[in-house]
Amino acid sequence: MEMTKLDIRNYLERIYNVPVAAVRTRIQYGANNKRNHRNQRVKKPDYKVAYVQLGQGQTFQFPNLFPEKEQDAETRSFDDFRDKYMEKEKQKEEGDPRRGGVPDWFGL
Amino acid sequence: MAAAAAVAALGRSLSAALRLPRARPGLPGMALNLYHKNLPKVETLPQVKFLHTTVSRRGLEEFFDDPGNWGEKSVKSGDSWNIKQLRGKSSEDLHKLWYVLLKEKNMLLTLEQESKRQRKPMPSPERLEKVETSMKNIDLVVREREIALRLLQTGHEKPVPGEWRNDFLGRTFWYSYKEWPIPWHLNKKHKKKRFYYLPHVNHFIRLRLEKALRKRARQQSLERTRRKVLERKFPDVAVKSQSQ
Repeated sequence: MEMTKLDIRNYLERIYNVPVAAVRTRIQYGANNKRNHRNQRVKKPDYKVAYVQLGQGQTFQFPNLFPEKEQDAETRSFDDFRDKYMEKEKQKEEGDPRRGGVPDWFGL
Repeated sequence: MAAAAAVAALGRSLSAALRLPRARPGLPGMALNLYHKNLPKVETLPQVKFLHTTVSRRGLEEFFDDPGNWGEKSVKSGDSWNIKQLRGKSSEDLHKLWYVLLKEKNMLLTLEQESKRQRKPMPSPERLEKVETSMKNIDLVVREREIALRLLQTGHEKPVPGEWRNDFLGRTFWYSYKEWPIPWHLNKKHKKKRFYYLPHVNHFIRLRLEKALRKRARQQSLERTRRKVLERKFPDVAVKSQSQ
């Protein structure tokens, strides 16, 4: 939060070797509207946002850090087991098929 | 039109084809896996080169983990650096290690924020704690060395001189001297501070002492009962410790 534009520029240039053209910063105010179980206001922390423009014609795309990966045998078997269990539970809840889906509340 | 031009400019500065990042750069003259001591030897994947039009973005790629680890449920990592292990390292090594750990911490923090955004669990969050303890240990080691050097050169432990003082509530604290433009006897606000206590405070000092003693006795008895419970549950281990 105490990092200035100059600090950010130097940080990126010296530690990460990234050429920086421009840096703009702003402070994002965290809301204080939520209340806890004691009706006290709970504050979300304030934080500083920096917009960094890269120099020398560089481009950057934020990568997808959670790509879909094929599940291993353990998770697959667990998912199968869970689906079968849910099917069994649903079948138990169903009533007499001859009643055509009518609930038992109705007489006869 | 201006808006369209601005959007185009924005697109130009932000858009790019997704590039597959290469292996992590190692600092010269150092083993690659310096940040986690007991990291298992991972085979590096064969280098897949994509067409780059920009300068190598090794810089920004360092904010993210090895792409092979993206989407994994957990990532293996070794233990944190111990103080004893760090004491044997030279200052240059510690300096390099500090920056390696700093970059690792930045990477983990970006991963944490991204996982919050995507509402997915962060893979192995204990890495953050390990990195933080390692950095704290490095700081401690550096402080120790600094104190040792200062003792040898000047004979003083602390960088700033000070003394023990009592405050108006009878508590004793370390007062370190500050640099002032005027002497203390001309400082009105400083003269209102009282570094002594009147006799009526002795009663409260006594009460505070009793409270501290009671707390210490409570902790000791709790420890004793916990030990007895363990001895009851695992009698063989207790017998071994007694015989040793």
